Amino acid sequence: MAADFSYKIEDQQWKVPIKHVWACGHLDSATNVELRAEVEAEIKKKSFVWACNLSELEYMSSAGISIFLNMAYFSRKAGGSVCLYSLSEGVRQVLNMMELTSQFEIYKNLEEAQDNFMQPKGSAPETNLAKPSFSKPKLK
Amino acid sequence: MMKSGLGGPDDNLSRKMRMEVTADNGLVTMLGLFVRAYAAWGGFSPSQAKLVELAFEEAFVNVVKHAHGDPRGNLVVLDFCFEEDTFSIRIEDGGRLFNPLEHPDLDIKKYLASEKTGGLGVHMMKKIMDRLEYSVSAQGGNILTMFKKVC
Repeated sequence: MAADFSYKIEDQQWKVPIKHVWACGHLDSATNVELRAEVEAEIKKKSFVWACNLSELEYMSSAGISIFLNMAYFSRKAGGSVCLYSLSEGVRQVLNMMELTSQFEIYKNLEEAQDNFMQPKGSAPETNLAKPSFSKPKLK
Repeated sequence: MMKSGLGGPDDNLSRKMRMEVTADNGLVTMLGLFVRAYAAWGGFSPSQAKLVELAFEEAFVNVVKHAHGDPRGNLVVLDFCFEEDTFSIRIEDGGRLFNPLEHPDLDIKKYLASEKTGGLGVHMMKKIMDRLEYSVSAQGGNILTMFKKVC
């Protein structure tokens, strides 16, 4: 079938150790099961700092959104955080429509994410997704 | 199992489509892609067609959820129709009664402050589509019809 979904979760060292998620394809109620289970297992193991590359995630329904919202909910509760970066147009559109962007730190690309995520001072997330990419990001 | 074919009045065959499918979550990706393609064919922009796919998926997933364990709920009839400038998706099933319009509007702040337990899909359907109608069929099943102006 044309609409595949694949993902990879790995440990990376940014400013702090993080769980890095790369997700690609069509994340819906049929394809979300393995990612959901793996994220839940990581949360149980107390992984609370996540960075997610969503550049190749072309479609995300509520089944996929709830994975990232739960990730953010439990991370925030434990003092951690979740950042999303390089959002595809499809993901950006859905997060904007559902008014969910405030739940995440959102960055334009990997470089901006690595420079700013989990930075105690002077972080500059792309807080307003409606703005064009060349606009100056708001300070937190 | 799925069979599909054109239906509706003879003078406008391609503007209407009927499918009979099983209430199987495994079909949702393929059906969603069909809905996106059909919506785009009917004039929706690619990004709007993707939103229509999302609304369809959320509606179909509800049908699957409520058909679970109930053999009467296994068959779902899908009708897609372009009429004037509006696209409609009608979903008829024989599962347990579930009226998404009676589902309370999601309080997004409360939702985000809690562990997520569902309700986002219905909220999404309401956000994407212009109008939703619900009725109970003569056989006692659900009929949900969603409308969206082509854009």
